Amino acid sequence: MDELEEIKITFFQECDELLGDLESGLLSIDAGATDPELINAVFRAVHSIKGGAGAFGLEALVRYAHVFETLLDNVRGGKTDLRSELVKALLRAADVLADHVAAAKQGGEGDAVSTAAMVEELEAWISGGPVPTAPAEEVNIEPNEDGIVFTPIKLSIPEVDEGPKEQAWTITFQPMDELYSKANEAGLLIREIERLGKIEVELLDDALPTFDSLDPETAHFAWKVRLRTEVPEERIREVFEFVEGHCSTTIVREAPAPTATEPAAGPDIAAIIAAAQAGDAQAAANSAPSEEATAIAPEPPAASLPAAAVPALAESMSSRGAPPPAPEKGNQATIRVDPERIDKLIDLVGELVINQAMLAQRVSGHGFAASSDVGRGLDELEQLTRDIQDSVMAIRAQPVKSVFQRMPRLVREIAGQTGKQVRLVTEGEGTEVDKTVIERISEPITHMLRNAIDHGLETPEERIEAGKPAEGTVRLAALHRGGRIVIEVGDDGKGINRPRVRQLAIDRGLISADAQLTDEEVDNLIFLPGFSTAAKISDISGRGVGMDVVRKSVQGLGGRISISSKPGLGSMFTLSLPLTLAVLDGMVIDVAGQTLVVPLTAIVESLRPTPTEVKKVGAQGGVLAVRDAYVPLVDIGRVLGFQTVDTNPAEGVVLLVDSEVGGRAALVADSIHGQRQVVIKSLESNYQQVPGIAAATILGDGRVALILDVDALVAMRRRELPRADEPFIEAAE
Amino acid sequence: MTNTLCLDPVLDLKAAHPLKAALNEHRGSSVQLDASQVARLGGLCLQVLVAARRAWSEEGHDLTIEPRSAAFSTAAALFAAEAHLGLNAENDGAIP
Repeated sequence: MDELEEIKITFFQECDELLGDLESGLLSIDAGATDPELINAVFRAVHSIKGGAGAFGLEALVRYAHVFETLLDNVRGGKTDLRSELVKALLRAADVLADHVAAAKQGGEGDAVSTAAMVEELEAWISGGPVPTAPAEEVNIEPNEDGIVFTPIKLSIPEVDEGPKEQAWTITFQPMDELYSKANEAGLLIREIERLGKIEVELLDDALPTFDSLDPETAHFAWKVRLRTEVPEERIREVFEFVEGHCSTTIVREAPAPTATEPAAGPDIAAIIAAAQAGDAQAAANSAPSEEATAIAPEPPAASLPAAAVPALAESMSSRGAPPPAPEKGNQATIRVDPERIDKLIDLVGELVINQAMLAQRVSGHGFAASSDVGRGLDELEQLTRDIQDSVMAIRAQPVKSVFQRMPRLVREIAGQTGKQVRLVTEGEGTEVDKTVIERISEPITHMLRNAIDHGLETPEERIEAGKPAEGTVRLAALHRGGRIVIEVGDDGKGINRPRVRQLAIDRGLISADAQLTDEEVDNLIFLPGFSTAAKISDISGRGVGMDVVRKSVQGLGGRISISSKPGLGSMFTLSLPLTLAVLDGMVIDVAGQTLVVPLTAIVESLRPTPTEVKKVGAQGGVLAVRDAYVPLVDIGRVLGFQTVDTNPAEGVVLLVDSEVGGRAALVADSIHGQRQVVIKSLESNYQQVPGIAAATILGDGRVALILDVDALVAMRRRELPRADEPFIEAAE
Repeated sequence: MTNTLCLDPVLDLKAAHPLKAALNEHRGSSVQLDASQVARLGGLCLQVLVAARRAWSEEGHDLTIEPRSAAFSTAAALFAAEAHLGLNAENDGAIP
């Protein structure tokens, strides 16, 4: 790939992170956080995007970011008050910026209309905010008792606070080789400085060697830029933020010209600063007033001196050499790695796990005892393999933040479309999950959030009427539970309208009119395919728009989804997903001569039932008595078609499992081999989708074993049985 | 005799080595650089051009940049390198 193209890809990756920082910073401010570092971080994010965009000549993005950045600079400089409406405007501006970045990524430019509207709004804020100014009070002028008329006249009183004044700065910078090799350009720096005010540029070519000895990729030129501007020194330094470490820079404020009333008494501050930066304190003290500062410091100067503050100089000089306070992010030492390399590594470790299992099996086949040297060595190898696998998986693990941070915008947009007031609360953004899962949870979460706002929350009027605050709350949370990641999407709306949902299910022929369903079962009707269409149920309080699609995609991930709802108080969807789609802890079982793997997360316990604990129900069904409860028996071999006759549970082994569809179930198998970590191989991509089977794996002896999809298996069994409203009960009697 | 060398549209880091090599081929004779297609002029190629102009001048030859695209002229002005490249009318041909 073209080197510049690679750098561009990195730039866009950074943009995604920066946009995330920008939004989360603004949301924190919106939520009432007052840490000044937040607005600095927000500013830096926009500034960094602008800087990178400039390097790639993305002019439209630069122009927009510049306006955005100017307003943020005003905010952090205290020129513009950070009130609530402004934060909202900034959030919208961040959305437009994200659009620009996305468009630039595709080689285009952001939408001109929305950009123009946003720029206008931002500029209105820059010039004092879109708040209409109150008309001047009219003064009634009446003669006083002496008949003298006092006419008010306007006096111009010199302001006590003079505000920012234009100052002259001398900026000298020498790009290093790395500046150019990182696709930056000296010209861009000059152009950035030019944006700050009036400039005069001088090319310093003294270091240029002869043509013959010139290495074309070695930087020799330096530039001296004289800048007249009102912006503070900080803004000038920010121009060089992107090239930190790749450019020697000095920024020196020129001493103001002495006036008649204020003769130049002390030494020239600029000269003192320059001397101080050059490391000569004595020279600083003796510096002549007219001496010009031209020293090129090897590093950007650490201390920035306050305006003409001679007393502060000593302190400033003493802090010379101290590293500048780097932004927090800069301290994180990270490397960027092509994800394909990690995927390859994970595949290889998977093969290692399989190989280690094969080796263990062969060794035990040769009669080595577990306590022998070979046996112990194998144990250590197994432990090591597992550690390597965990570590490799940790590399690919990512916090769900990358998905969560896209949601506030979605919420704003849906709220805007529906006219509802919504506050999104996110929790557990740092919860880590494998990249393969991250990539696929965005869609179900988006769908659930859309549903929560569109159908879960009431309108502000309805809420007020119900005694709730006008603004509804939608909560998005992530947490680890039992080796899985759990995502919760909850709202404080009116909850599922069960009578309505039940009626709809009856109307659509999904349940019979006299079916006895628990509240939970009614709630879960919304997941049934064909339960609803958006047009038909958008006017009811329940949910259901495409929830079958959501459930299908969640199940495709090896996950489960459930809903709980309280009338008047709200609903909550709970998504439970595996942490990775690459490996799985499973129980290896035998069923009708086939070796199968049951995911360990689904298993509650395994037991060998006595004949008295097994109760036959009807011709085919049966239940198992487990501690004062009856659990339906599911014969794996028969459901999957391996055999036509049920295995006698008393002669085999039973695995008690928890399924989302039918609660607890007892899977009947012939025998258990043991617990093993297996590497998941997709059946769909290598063969085709098989009902009741989630994936496949390769066992220690090289055979392929199928991994059961417990929920699907239980559901298949339930479908196989006659329904409650059919003559099943009669047959059982 | 004056040779003409057409400059590439993008004069960035990657173009610096080829530019020097291309100029070297015209060493020992006056050369006219056609910058009419230049869309981007970077700092490294600027160095090559300035060093070349000095070398040509020392050897008694001319190195002129004509015609020039607007982008080239703007970049030269931004870099404050017009005089170094002999772009100022009064300095034309002179070594700054």
